[in-house]
Amino acid sequence: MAVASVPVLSARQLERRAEALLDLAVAVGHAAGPPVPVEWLVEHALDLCIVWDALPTDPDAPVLGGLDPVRGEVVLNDREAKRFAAFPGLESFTLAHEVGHWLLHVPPARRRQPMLPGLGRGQARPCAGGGSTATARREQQADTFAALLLMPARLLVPRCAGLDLSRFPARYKLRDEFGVSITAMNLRLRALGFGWFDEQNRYIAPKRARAAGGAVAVPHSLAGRAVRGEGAPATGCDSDAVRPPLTPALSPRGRGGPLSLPHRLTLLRV
Amino acid sequence: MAEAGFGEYLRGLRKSAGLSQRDLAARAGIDFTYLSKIENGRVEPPAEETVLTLARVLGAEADDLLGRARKMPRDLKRLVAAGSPEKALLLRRIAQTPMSAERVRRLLSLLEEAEEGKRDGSR
Repeated sequence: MAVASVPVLSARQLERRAEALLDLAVAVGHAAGPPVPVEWLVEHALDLCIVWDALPTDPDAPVLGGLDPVRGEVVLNDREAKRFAAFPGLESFTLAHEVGHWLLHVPPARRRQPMLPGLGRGQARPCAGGGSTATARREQQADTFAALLLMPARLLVPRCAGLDLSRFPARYKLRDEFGVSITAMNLRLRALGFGWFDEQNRYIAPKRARAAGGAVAVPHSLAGRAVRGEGAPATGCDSDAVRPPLTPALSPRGRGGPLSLPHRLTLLRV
Repeated sequence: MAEAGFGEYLRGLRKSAGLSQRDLAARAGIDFTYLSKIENGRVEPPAEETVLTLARVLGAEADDLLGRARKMPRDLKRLVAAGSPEKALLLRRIAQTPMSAERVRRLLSLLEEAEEGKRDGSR
């Protein structure tokens, strides 16, 4: 089996991996603020190639991109070009997601290694959506990594101070500043303890969320610490310690997958 | 070490220039998804005009880039049209054969030696 086992990584460990990449970008002169130069990270820091190519996709579970570890390519799906154009933050998130797979799920020994003679040529194998628990876990880790890379707490939390995040303009301002989708931003804000957001991206105050049968994302005290930058929860996306149980109405799983983001394809030659 | 193909070489030039695929594609007047396909060998190198534009934007040697794209520059085409079939064959072989810089230098010196021998013989 060519796919590596899913590493056990805490939210803090994932955050450190993402921060190390960000530090690299800053060290060579990129601005320390958002948006994070994810394209530069892919091409220069990791020496991966970006290519637009046609991947099999599905209207109900769109495949936005993939990773070819043998060629060292991050593939963006040509067939989803309209979706990328309609949602500008999607491209950055897809790139960051594949970076997550590259760093977390492709063992260094398998990176850019051609197939051994006699074993035949591998086939692209989808491993997203509806698969095993390990597959779902890998996808969730890649999504979490992407959120941490594009919306690091050290950049996002200070910018939340003084903003009324219950209002759309404040969150759209953050979305534009970080170059992500509003869904990704809402999920990250929720993970950082700034509140809940429903499927229409409306803010749900903690009391209302509780009345609806759900748990509050993070205690107010913790959210307050986050605003002051005194040890906010790392992500909330991948840590049971800070991740609340989700109500059916609010659960992203109920809407098709981890973090409600469209499924992706990871190309692994087996 | 094998010489980089057109796409790989182009990507190296672009990255050295600090440009993203979108930056270069916009400056060269082509689609950035097309550029990504060129760089990764998904499609053949583009037409001569596009190669020349890419060379200009990147500050690269046009003949070098054309050679890697296996394109014959327009002035050489004219030369071929006006010259002998043997010259045309020679130029075509040179244009179509991947060669290291060292091999090209050897061929050039062979031509120079032939030229000198011709001059010496005529004295």
